[in-house]
Amino acid sequence: MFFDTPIYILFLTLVTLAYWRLQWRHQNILLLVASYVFYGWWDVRFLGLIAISTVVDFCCAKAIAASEENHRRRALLTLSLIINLGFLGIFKYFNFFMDSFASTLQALGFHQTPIAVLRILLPPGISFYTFQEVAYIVDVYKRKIPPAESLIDYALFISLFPHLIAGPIQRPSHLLPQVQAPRRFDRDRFFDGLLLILSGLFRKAVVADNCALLADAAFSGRMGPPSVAVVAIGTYAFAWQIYGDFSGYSDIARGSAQLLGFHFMVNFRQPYLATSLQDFWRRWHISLSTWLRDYLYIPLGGNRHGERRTYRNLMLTMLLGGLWHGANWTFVIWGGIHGLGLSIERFVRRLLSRDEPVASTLWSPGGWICRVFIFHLVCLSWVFFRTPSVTDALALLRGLGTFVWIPEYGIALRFLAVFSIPLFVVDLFNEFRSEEYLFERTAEMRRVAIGVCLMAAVTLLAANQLNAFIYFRF
Amino acid sequence: MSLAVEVAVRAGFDRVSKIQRRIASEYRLATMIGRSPCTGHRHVLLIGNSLLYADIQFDRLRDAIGTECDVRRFVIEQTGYMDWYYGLRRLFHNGARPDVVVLVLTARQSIGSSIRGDYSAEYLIDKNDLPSAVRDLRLNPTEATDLLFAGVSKFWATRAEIRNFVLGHLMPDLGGLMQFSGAVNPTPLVDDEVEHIMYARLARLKAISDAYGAKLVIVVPPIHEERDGAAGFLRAGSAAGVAMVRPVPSGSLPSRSFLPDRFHLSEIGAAEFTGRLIPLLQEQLERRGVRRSPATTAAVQSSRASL
Repeated sequence: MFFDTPIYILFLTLVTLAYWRLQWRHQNILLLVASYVFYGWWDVRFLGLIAISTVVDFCCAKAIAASEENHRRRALLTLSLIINLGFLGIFKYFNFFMDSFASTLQALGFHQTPIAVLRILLPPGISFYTFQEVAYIVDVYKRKIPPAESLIDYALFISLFPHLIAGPIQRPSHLLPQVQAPRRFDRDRFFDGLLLILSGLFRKAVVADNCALLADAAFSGRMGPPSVAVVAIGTYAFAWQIYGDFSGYSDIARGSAQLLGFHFMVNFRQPYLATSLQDFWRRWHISLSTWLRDYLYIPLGGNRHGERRTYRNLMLTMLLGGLWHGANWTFVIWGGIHGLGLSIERFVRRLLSRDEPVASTLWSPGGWICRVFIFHLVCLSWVFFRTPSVTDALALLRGLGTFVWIPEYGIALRFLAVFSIPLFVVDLFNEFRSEEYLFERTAEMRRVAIGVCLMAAVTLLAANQLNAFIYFRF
Repeated sequence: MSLAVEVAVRAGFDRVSKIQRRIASEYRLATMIGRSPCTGHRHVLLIGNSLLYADIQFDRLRDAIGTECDVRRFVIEQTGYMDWYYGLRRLFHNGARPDVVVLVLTARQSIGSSIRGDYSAEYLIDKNDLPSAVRDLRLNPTEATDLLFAGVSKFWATRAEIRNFVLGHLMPDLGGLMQFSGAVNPTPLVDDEVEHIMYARLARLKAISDAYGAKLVIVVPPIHEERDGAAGFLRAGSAAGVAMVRPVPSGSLPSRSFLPDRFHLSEIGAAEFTGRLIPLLQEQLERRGVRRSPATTAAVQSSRASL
């Protein structure tokens, strides 16, 4: 069930209407059933997987909390991690590693080596709920949080439908207490939730899906052979597509959660206004970047063991972060570009004896030079993210040495401007007013007017493609 | 708000959009074909996608076929076999009684297993056919419910056209970009594979036409690329007992006969193609061997009487 379809709107309406008529315990049961219906809508077979990993983690966490013996606690943690990451590895990465192994053997001269390939579907959202389960079990192990007493509460924490498929990855310390306590209906927050959903639909259906038309044409060669113009159109279009797509998804997820009285963490904070790569990762997919920081970078040693280890940890974190996105070397390179960029940034800052990037206001010309540079660096990395193979990415980038211009490219850039500039202006506005979403602190009537405008834009300009959200694949 | 949008779209969209107005009018005329009491006429219905619209000079064809024929056209762009399989069922179900149905499709458009999208639910897929369409098209539950909503809501079905209409006014030169970047699949088709897929499909299409006493004629238009699978398509047609007409082989027309998208014919190409199509189509009309069954004749007469 995609968020931008009428069936989801109907589903959400029915669930919300029923939900607020029930008492807290019954609300949780209703949400759990609704979340499993939502997930089973793709394929009921996937329900078994999420149910198994939920029960295993629930039991392991309780046993870890009940035990005082370190080796037993560690064994249980390891068991849980093996099961969670094992599922992820089998379903998402098995074929990738087998293919890579076969290619290596072929390169070494071993031909016709029989390689096992699994014919399996990737369960939607497995990367997201696995990370949430890992966070829970690690936090219980570190005694940061107590284990959930009720299986229903824990299962709901894992499967709550607004975040189930593509996040934001919720921290147990943030979401679990909300699940375990009664929620109260708040009219203002409910209205904010509706606006967030409309804002998300605008970002997804109007901005992302229209930019996707150009990005798809450029990356598939339908705009002509690679040249500066084709690469620019393709990467700019994809940059706004993926931003509109994922931030739109996150807005709809947060808005849906808010209708049910939950609060989800902010996942995007004007990422294309970042003045450094470090700043970018504090604004882009925040729930993932903070997860990687807390559960990978810091356990690896973070910046506590000297400069070399810090650079190694940065690279490892970003490479694995890249691989998390998909089982393809293009994602590893994408992560590598960011890891390398972050390392270079850190090195330069050390040279200049600065611990943190310099904060830059919207009025500083130097800040805008940095913003433009970072935006283009991010765009370069998007080439690898978007193309199906490294060879394709390199072939496209080779086009940067060719300049061809035809009038259609001008139309394409104007088309891109029509759909990307509104989002850019919204970002500028939010940055200027330090708001989480548009007109957060504006009078109610104006916000109603904004809601109507968003709805009109979605009605008139939504592209008619059942485009799955990009992050649904991950 | 949603209700207001739905009402507004139902009330106004067909009037303000030229394309929508044309499709709605052609659809209405297509469903009425053969129901008028002028019994001396033969009723010919041409159906297809933008290739029918661009490649065939309809007025010239209609004039050439003669006054004793009632020739009508129903074009919906970006449609393929699956659209027209269900489209034909819907037309017959809604009362269309043509003597001859002429479907204009390339081999590639015929072997595809997709539909135009939610728009198909507006004019092509009947609500009663939705369950079998969902099975045929192997739609997932989300796509299936989307199609179901499109069958109920005109706004949902036509939202892409609404966007195109708005964008067309905001950026009048957008059509040039879309034509330039349009997806033309360059992979050559294998005739045997086309034949294998199309035999059953054409037989299925013929069965519908036969049930209503109409003769089915398939016109295969030329495209720029030579290996278009048309030979396999023709073989499948003759094996299934469907009349196949291919006036101009693909790859035989010069580049100036095509529009910049190298897919649709230019005016020069359309003139050439129509000129060669007319005698072949006339021959098919003369040869029209399919007679109406007594049950169909009775059904036609009763539907005429009810008008």
